[in-house]
Amino acid sequence: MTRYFCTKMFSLLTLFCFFFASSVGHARESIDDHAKNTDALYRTGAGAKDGAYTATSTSMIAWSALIILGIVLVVAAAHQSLAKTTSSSSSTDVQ
Amino acid sequence: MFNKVLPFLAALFILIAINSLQAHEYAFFSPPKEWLIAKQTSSPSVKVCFLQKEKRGFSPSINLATEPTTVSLNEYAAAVRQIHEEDGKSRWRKLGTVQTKAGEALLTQIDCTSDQNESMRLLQLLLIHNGKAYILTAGALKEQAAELYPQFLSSFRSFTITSDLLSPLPDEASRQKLLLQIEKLKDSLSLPSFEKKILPAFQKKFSQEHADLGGYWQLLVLQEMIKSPPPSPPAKAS
Repeated sequence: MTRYFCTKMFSLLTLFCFFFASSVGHARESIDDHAKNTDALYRTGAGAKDGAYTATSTSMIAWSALIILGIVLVVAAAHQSLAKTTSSSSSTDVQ
Repeated sequence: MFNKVLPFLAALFILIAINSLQAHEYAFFSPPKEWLIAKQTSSPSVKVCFLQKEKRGFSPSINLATEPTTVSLNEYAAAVRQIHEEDGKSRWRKLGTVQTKAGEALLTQIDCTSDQNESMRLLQLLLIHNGKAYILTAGALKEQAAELYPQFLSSFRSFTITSDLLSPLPDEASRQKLLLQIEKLKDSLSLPSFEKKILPAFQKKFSQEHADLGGYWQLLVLQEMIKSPPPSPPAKAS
């Protein structure tokens, strides 16, 4: 009978530890999720804030005709692409 | 057991493949005609800004900002309202919805002051798509705002989100024509006259042919096409 009682107690204890550990883990997860969600809500709207700030401070923005900026950007990308092609072909030449 | 798990794994794999194909999305709009582009802005979330250069005083502008988000449009709008009304001087109100090419968006209005202490009116269009908030903000002085509304609304309605930058082109023929033009341009990259003659001539022709799609789309196409090889044309059926 003592053996039966000990076995039963041991099983109950194991079950109890399992539920306790999983509930603590779940609570920790809930706290972390809550912190993440609160943090996300706190930061939400930063894009709208930036958009509004940019719209109200256009006196500080340097401007350009689109065609000029387009040329500048494409030339920069083209130079980068050419540099990559040159370096890869020179590395294959080395024996 | 493996036979039971296999369909699930296959479905998961397909979902991941589809997700990766749709990973990069382009967002653009048509700014009002002849507006200039800002060289750079101080805010990292602002992707592009166009302005109408005024000889004196404040320049009306329109800009596109984005931020990752997990909230709904109404929750996002509530957060934005809180931000704008924080200082107690600005007034925020919801105007209604606008149908854009990317879907239905929420239009809001903010009355505030500029950095030069002038009374301003901002129209801010909010749209949530695939875990990202897109914000189009148009700003003008209060007295100029009414006459600029039609241009602002036209730009808002043109707002598009797509994973295929060439999808706005009307047909396959124009798509192939553009791809050939870009291919020729890339072939002439190493020529000495590329910067001073070839590229300006190409860009002038390109902006005339695709004027309806706006300057920002043109810029995105040029940037993307020069960086990576254009998609190969579909094989003709024999």
